Amino acid sequence: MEKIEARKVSREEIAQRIMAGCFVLGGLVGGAFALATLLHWEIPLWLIGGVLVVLMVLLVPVTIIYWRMIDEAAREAHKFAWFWGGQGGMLIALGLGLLGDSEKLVAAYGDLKAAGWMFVGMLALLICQIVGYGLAWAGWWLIRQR
Amino acid sequence: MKNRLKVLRAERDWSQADLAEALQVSRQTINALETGKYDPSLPLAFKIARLFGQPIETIFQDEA
Repeated sequence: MEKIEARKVSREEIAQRIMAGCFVLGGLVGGAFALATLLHWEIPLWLIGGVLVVLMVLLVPVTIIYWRMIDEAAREAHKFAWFWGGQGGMLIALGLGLLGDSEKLVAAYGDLKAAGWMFVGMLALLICQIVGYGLAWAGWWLIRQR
Repeated sequence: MKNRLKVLRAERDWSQADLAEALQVSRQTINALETGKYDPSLPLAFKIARLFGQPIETIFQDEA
């Protein structure tokens, strides 16, 4: 029994470290892109997209390991966040898309080709979904801790 | 769903962390269970019942 408990505690810790590691990795990549933008370096969209795809593929096995480490309530929080936060973020992204001003978009991103605009749209959708996911996840836990 | 987890835990002088370790879940999950805002799965409910040596229905009560 003690051995099982000790193993589980370390599993929880591993899960927390995996999550922390993903935050650090995301922060480093985002920070690198932000720094490059501040230095006025031209970053091609295919490079940003490529890095994102590579990171997401690499994170699939990490996510599987993380999922196996967490308990049922933590999984429930993620499922809730995926459905409500993800969909909420998608709706906000859709609204932003409809409100999009061509001149401001061109001023911000340059005069892109169709594929470039599609990528900008996908990136905006991803950001909105991640923000929605994070808010829904935090809300699920906050409500259940009081 | 109401439950007597907090009372049962207090009777044994266990902390939330102690109970979390025994059930192999996080302390936050124990807190969510105790506030009655998260209902456990059947396997976890059986595990809780085994740990406290009581039938499930004496630990969890349906509010309906």
